[in-house]
Amino acid sequence: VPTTGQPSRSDQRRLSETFTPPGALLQVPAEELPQLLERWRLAAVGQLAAGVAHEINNPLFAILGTIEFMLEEAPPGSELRDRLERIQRSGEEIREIVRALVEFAREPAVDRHRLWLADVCAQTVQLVRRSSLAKGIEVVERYPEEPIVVDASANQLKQILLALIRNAQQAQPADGQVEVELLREATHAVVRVRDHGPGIDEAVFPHIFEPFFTTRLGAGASGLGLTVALGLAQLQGGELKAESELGGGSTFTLRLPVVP
Amino acid sequence: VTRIIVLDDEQVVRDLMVEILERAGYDVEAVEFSRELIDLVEAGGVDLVVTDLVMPEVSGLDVLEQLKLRSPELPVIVVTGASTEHNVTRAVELGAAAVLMKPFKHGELRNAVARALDD
Repeated sequence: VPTTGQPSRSDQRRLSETFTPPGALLQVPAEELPQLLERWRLAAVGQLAAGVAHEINNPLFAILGTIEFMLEEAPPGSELRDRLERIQRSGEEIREIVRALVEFAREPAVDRHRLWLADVCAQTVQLVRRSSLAKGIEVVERYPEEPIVVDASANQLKQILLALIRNAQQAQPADGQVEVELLREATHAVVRVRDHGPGIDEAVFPHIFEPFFTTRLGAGASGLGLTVALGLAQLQGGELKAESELGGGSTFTLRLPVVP
Repeated sequence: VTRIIVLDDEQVVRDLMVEILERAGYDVEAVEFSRELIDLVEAGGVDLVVTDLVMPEVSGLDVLEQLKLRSPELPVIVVTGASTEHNVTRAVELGAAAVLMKPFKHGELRNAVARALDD
């Protein structure tokens, strides 16, 4: 293990993938320069966001983790408990805002490849299962036998799926089930993420993709998850739609053109 | 008693994780530097490691890689405040038993530890 030096080997690898040395500017055709500079700017914004996230999330963990101990000791119904819960909710809002900032700052779809969509879905579900996102929910996967290939950014597809799975998870009780289904409909690949929650209220439904719209205000929601997912779906040349039935859960459908 | 070592460069974070895990009945030791962690693991008797990802002296990914080279069966849980997808994916590829995003709830850490020890 290296004991000195910063950044680490992994970070250096990452930096070298992200940044081209300034000398390379001389070899770039003039018409490609704006695009290259824009890519550098976005990479820098992404790194800034990750740095901010790190600097905020560590002390925030100390605050929320300590509050959790204090809540265990605060008598139910006491004024102290109310105050601690207020601090906890505010901390959770900060956490969501930081997460949304990091997601917004991610690189755009400059890196599209031919992908086996089932692999991307399976890898995302694997990520959910191995991270703190899972929180007891069961994720059921259904993939077709025929391979479905799309031309897209794997990272951004994963980001869309993570947002949809997170949304499905939050729409129902902690021990609920989320279904992730992939199928082909003529010229399009279709990914459905379905929950078995209470469904979305009619008054709420038209607004679910709007930025900063959330029904979980004060419960740690940023109101940006579905907005970012929709924007990324469109960047891939696809579309994202929602259907919901009161009492019957909700289904989010991502449609992407398949590569013939 | 199950022995857990926690590696994090920030004392307030170390103290908190130690308290969460000690209350869950584990024997926990916290260290600030990766060298101390490697020495403890090489000395033996360590059942699980919890490591931060972004630290000034070394990346948690490099720590994970080194631990897996020495003790492939040792469960390692990665905790991170800067959860870029690249890092999370790489940690899973390198064999992390779980990746937790700070700030997480006490129960998430306890559950991740219990699952990793069961596996």
